[in-house]
Order: sequence, then structure tokens, then C-alpha cells
Amino acid sequence: MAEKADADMRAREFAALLADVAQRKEAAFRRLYDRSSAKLFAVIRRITVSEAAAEEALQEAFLRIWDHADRFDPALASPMTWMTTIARHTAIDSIRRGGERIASTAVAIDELLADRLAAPEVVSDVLASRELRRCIDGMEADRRGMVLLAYCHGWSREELSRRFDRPVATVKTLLRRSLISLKECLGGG
Amino acid sequence: MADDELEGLAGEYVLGTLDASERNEVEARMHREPVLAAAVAKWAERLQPLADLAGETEPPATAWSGLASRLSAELGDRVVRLRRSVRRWRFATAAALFAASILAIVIIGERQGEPEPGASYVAILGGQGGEPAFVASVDTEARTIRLRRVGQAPPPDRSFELWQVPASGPTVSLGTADAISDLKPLNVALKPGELLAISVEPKGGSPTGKATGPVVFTGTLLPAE
Repeated sequence: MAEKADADMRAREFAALLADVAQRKEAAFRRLYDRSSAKLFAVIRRITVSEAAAEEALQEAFLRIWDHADRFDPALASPMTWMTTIARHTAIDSIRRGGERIASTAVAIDELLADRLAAPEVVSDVLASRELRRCIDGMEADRRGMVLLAYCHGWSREELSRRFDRPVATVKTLLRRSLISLKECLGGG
Repeated sequence: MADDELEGLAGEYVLGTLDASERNEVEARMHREPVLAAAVAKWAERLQPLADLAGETEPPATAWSGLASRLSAELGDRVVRLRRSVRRWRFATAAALFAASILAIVIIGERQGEPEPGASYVAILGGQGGEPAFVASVDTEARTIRLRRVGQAPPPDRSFELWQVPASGPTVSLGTADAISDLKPLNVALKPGELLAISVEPKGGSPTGKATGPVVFTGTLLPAE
């Protein structure tokens, strides 16, 4: 399908750019930034409290991408996934450093999945997206909430413990059980 | 480690819910344990559609300019540290050369997080005032030379060219050195005590096979250990 072909092309382009960045080619780094920063900034912005923190985390993420480009292994992960993991962790670092953050308790879980089931042009893999949606919809409400608040908004076990009124150790157990059943639902591979 | 435990650890790592020490543990282990690295990568792929839900948001223009200056500041910091240390040891040349070679390894190490594997010799190439411009490390096993630029880039219409300067006989070109980091195959045998030099040539390197422009940086190869 067309979206898959586009996604494959972009993956190849990014893999080539990352290889150039590993060779310290600054022009490739600039191009990679131009092509991927909007997606990464959106992911980061959803996690950080302020715009300023998001900007700083984006810079930190790209510095890490610059530093570790030689460690990217295309056999293990797609480039965007690798960069997204880095970006999310820099955003999470930023909010964890900030101590008690203004937990967006007003976030309705359903919002996250609402009709923003992403426009096709931003979805890397439409099929994977549908599969994941199906599996997440099948989860028990609290577990679904925990997984989504953690992944999308960077909530910690402590914050989830307060929101769902469970001890932290229980949150850890529930998260892990939820992850295992997601994996099974998705086909275990 | 039990399968489920590994999956749980990898999955929570990707979710972001591990505490700081658990996360550091996973990051350290990922380098040594391919199974863990693969599990983390798989979880990231499984959950990536959730990242797509965020859509796209253009960052402010200051994000790029801030990034670009942080990148050159980091490179600049390395020069400042090296400069300060070189000044301190300037009084004894032998000690200075030896200390500089240690600093070269420290700086390369700081950038990468671990020492360059297989490096046999290092040289700091600097100008007349002693300011460092390039760090070279020779891997005799892999037969490569890595050059890292810590100073200014060459002017836009010029190239830096690296030369082996043997005790006798003609200089041998080792190629141009215009990128911030360059890994080159080595066709000549380089030994400690030998001199490396960098000249300023027309863009693309000397057309004659000999240096046509001024030599701006020199350095002596020293054993890395």
C-alpha cells in the first residue's frame, strides 16, 4: 500500500542520513533535523510541561542522536523508532528532574485515542497502528489508562499510583502484565 | 534472566516507567546483551504507533540555532580544556608531548564514552602558538587513521591536507581532512616519533602530490599506551 512504500522510503533515507551523521557530516545532520524534528518535537511536547522545556529536550535529543549515530543498528529498529526512543527519554528526563510536575490530571484517556487516530500521512505503519489500537481497546480501562499515560505523557509509576489509587508496586505489576498481554495480542513476535 | 522479566524490563524501559537506577542498568546492559537490546527495539516498534498519534509540530526556529551553537560549544570546550592543560605543562617539552597524548585519549574518550578500540598511536596537531587543531589516532591493526578536528574548519575554497613527514625522503599525502571527523585507510606504515603535518591546499587537495600551500599544523605520533 502507498503509506507503507512511503514509510519504507523514509526509513531508508533516514538510515542513510544517520550513517552520514556517524561520519560527522554536518549537512546530513541538518537534513535529518529538517525531516524529523516536527515529529520528534510533537512527541516531546506531549510529555514536557512547558514549551521551553520541550525546546531544550529537543536539542538534547538531537545532541544524543549526533553522539550515538554510530550505534544505530538498522537491523534492530527503524530509524524513526530509534530517534523517537531517544526523544522520549530526553523529555522524560526533563520532567523527572523538575520534581513534582503539574500532572495533567485533566487528560481524558479517551482523548488520546480519539479521532486523532492519526492522519495516514503521519502514521509510519497503518497496519501496525490498527493492530495496536485493537489490542489497546481490548484492555481493561485502568490498565489502558496506565499504559497510555506512561507512553504518551511520560507519567511515572508514582504519578500513576496516585491517579489510579494503587500502591507503586502494584502499578509496576499491572504495567508489566499489560505489556505482556499486549505482546500476546499483537502476535507475540 | 526469565523471559517475562526481560520483556517486562524492556517494555517498561520503552514506556519510560523505570526508575533512574533501573534505567541506567538497562542502558548499560544493552551494550553487552544483544537479547536485551533486541527486546527494547521490538517494544519501541510495537508502541511506535502511539508516538505517531502526537502528529507533527514545528519546533521554534531558535531550537535549531540553539542546537548548532551547543554542538560547536561542546567542540570548543574540548579545545579550551586541552589548551589550559597544554599551557600548564609547556615548561617541559617531553612531559608536554606525553601529557598531550594522554589528553588526546581523554578527550576522545569523553566524546564517545569509551576509549577508541585498537588505537596504537595518537598525535595532536597544532599551530605555532600551540593551539590544537586536530587529533589523530592511528590503528595499526585496522590500518586506519582517524582525524578529529577540534579547531576551525578550512576556508570554503580550501582543503586541509594531511601529510606524513618522514625523517628522510618526500612527504606522503594521506588525503584531505575537511570533515569534523574522518576515518581513512592507511597505506603507509606510521611509527611513533614520526611527524604529521597539515597544509592548506586548493579545494580537493594539492594538484601536484606535494604540499603547495602553507603548513599550518604539525604533531608527533606517540604511543597510545
